[in-house]
Amino acid sequence: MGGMSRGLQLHNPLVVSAFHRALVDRFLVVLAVAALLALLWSAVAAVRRRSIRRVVLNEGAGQRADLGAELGAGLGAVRGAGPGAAALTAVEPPGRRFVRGAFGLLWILDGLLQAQSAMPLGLPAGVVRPAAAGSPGWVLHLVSVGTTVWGNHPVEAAASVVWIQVAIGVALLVAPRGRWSRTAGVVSVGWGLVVWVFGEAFGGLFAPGAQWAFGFPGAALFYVVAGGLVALPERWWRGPRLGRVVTGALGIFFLGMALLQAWPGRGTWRGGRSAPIAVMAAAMARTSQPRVLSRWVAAFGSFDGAHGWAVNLFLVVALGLLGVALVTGRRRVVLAGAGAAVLLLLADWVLVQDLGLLGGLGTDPNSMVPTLLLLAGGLLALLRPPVEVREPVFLSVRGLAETPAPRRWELLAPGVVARTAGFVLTVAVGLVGVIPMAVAGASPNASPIVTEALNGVPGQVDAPAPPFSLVDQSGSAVSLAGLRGKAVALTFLDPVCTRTCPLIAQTFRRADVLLGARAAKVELVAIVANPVYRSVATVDAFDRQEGLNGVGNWLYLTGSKRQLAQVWKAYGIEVELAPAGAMVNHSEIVFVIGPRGRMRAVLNSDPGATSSARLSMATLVSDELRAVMER
Amino acid sequence: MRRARTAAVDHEGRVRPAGRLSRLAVAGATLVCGMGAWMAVPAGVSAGTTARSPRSGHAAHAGPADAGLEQSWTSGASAWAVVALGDLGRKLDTFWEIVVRPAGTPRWSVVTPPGVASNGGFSAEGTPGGSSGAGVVTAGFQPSQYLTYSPIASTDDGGKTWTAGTLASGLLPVADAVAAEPDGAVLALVRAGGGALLRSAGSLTAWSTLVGRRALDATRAGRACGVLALSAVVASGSSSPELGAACGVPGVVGLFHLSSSGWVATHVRAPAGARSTFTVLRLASGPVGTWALAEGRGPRSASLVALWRAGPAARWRASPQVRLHGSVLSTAALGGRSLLIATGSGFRTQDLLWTGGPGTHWRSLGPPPAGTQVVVPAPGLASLAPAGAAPAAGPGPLSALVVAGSEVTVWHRAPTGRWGPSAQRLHVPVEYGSST
Repeated sequence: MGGMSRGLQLHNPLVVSAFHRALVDRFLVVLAVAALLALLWSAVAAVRRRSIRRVVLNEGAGQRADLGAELGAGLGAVRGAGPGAAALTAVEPPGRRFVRGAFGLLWILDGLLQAQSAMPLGLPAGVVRPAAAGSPGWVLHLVSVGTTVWGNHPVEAAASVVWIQVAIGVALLVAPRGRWSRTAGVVSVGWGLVVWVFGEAFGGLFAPGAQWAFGFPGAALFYVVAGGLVALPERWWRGPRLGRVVTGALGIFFLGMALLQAWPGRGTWRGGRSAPIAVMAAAMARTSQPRVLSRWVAAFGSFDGAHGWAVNLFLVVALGLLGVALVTGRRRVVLAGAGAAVLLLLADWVLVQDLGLLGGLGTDPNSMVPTLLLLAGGLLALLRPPVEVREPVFLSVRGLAETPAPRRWELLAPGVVARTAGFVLTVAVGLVGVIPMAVAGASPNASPIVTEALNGVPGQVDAPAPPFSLVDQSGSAVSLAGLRGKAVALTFLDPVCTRTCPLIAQTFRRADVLLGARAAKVELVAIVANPVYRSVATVDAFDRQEGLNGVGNWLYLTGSKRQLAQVWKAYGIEVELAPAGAMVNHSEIVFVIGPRGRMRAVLNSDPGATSSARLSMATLVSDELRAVMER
Repeated sequence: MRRARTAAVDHEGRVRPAGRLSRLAVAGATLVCGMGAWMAVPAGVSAGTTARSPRSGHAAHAGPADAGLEQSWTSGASAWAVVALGDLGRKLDTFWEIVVRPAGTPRWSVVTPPGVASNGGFSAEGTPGGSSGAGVVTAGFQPSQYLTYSPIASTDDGGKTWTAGTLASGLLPVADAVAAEPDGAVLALVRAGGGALLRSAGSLTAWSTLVGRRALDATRAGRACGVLALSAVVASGSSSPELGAACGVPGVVGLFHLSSSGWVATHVRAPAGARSTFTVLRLASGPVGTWALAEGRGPRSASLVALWRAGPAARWRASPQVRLHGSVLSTAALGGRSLLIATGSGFRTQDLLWTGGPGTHWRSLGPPPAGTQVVVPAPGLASLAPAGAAPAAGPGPLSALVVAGSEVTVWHRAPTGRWGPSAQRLHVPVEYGSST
């Protein structure tokens, strides 16, 4: 009924099943790419075996032993020189390896968390908007760009994010060295920034009341930093300097957070039930999780409620001391500070952030874990020097004069081939996320599934449409019979409705745009659904209000009370005058009528509470009109 | 390889203490400055930012002073009032209702015109006449949400049936935005073009523009006022529309009427308001002429002044100015030239101010019962006193409509000045959430 827009349930079965289907479909694409790569791998391996046998035959028995040893070791280098040809090279620095591996796993975890059933419909309202609450207008505007794309294409966006984040994680894990590894770091920075800006609203940087204890400045920012560290040239990791920079930067960060917690007027010193940490803990404790954890969180919330001032004092002092300890750069002090940081960060992660991902729509383990991992990476870089090892080196093949030389790719080391295949697979995983996301982002339309989730799938019918003969907004007579030869989208609108009818009218206007040249074969028709305000002047005022007076194929029909009542009855439209200043209640339905006057589809037309729902309805209406034209 | 070895050597070294201290100091200073600047930014940025719906601009009102839309009037032997019910903290769940106490009955009933959501409010006016002796009432709906033009309705049978019409623009959000002329034509102040006065030909669907704010401001009469906004309209007994305006020129109360030669200023210099700018909040006509209520806003305070005149040729006579605390919520014309003003904030009436007519001082009647939205004179009171009669000694019998949610309780004021509830409680079937 008019004016009673319903919201979408997060676990709407239609959307959830489409989301799961999209995930599976893309997984199948990834599998197909993996199968192709496996085939390629076996082909390369076969060619390589033949090449090596040829080399062995040509070089004689003396070199056979070398090759056999090499093949056994799996190092894959074909060489004419003896064992002494190995060179001194450095393995990946431990700090870098740790940061790369840890954040690779975190990205994969985040990707898997994005696969929660409620994510397509829940992320904007349950995660992004709360994060942006209180931020200035420009932040809200920026964030709304992301939520609009997500809201218009919830299934595509949610499935894409799963695969993008899994791909970044896999890329970080499978590419330990070199250009591809650094590329994975750069991609991690890029996507981390996207998540930080559009998903975390800059981590609350511009919102009042941001607190370190709750996760300020946002987990994704730590992913960005980690990605940046991986993207650095490896030589930067060869000494303790980078470790000092990382731990020192974290020290400054902790000092800043101490200042933030101590800053007066931000509510951090407040106690009682309204103490921010107590409120947060109480909210977190209510979410679905193991009882023991819930009890801990609730107990800490109560403790903070009783001793809010003291808890904040402890936080300020602890963060300040940690910051000073890390900034000094003295090994023992830094180590002591890092030990204390582990305790503080873990305590906050469990007691305030509630592990970050339990209950609600957790998309990551919040900020404490990535902070700890960065700290650990920095410490490793500071305290553990990189190790140098002897590695066999690919040398030129000699003694092949009698037979054609094998091509370079035929002699590729298995490790190189494996890494190449792994990275290609990773790129494939990423692309199954990126391409649909890019398509969705570039599309000005919305997926029909949003309105189908709200209103149900259109009912397909095949029956003669009840005739009508009324007058349009200019007073000219119009009948359904006179519209033969055109597809008709017919709805019933109250011209003085304050909410839903203007929105439905806008979806018709949008559908007209979506139809493009085909709109010439379509009539968009509304019939008045108000027994009191039904004059031609009123429908004309409505048209002007909605900018429909310039739409050539728009007809807003009215008539006498009796004429209208007959049409309402024929189409099963309920119209009811409500008492005490409420607007008229009426059915919100769109009928799609074919060029031969037969009703083909019936759509519930609740425009919903979001612009995505309305765009989606416009897409659905235009799709249905196209369908009846093609029948 | 050299790099690796160099790094290994570096790894054995220590940072020089002097360098560390200086870095620490710089880092600390940078941190403090950065944090301070950052903390200052959100407050500054958010102070100038408000979320605005794409269409909320329609609701903007240029007038420098606003009065509530609650009001009451007597028409013939009937008493009428406009009250706001529902969840008064939520605009879309605040439903404005028109209630009437017909002649000869002590009971109030809801006669809100049907077919439109009333959560934008009403501008309504009653004039004598009609088939039932209850007068002719014209009510224009204020735009709400996506509705940007104003439906309008009129009744001459005490609200039993309403004739519907439409304005192509939204009414200005003032209590006296509609007025009915004796010949049945209706005047309406609308937002189009920055404010304009329209007149219907009688059908409530065909309208013509009498004057726009800009055109009025361009006249000699308008320049003397510096017309900021049109703020009230009334059809005087001679069928000549009278306009009230918000003036930009200090000390001038902007009042205009349409004569054969065009719009004529009948401005009044406020008695003690040289530094205040005035907005005409109300304009009404009755058996003894026309009265106006203007609010003056000065640098430090606000004041009210009431004005009366017996006819188009007569001069306006002003009351003394009275200091205004809060804002004017509702007004009621009592017997003769006596006026009652309810002041307060939000929907809470905190004080009642009464004046007996020109030359008489304002008197505070004290706070009415808690929750009072409008105070209504006894039916027929407005027409009791003949023109030229001595000023009334007191406001006479009054009723207060006290609102709590969707319930209205009627209170009566005893001659001693004490208020007591009557037996009647009016339950209004407000449909919360029906128009959001």
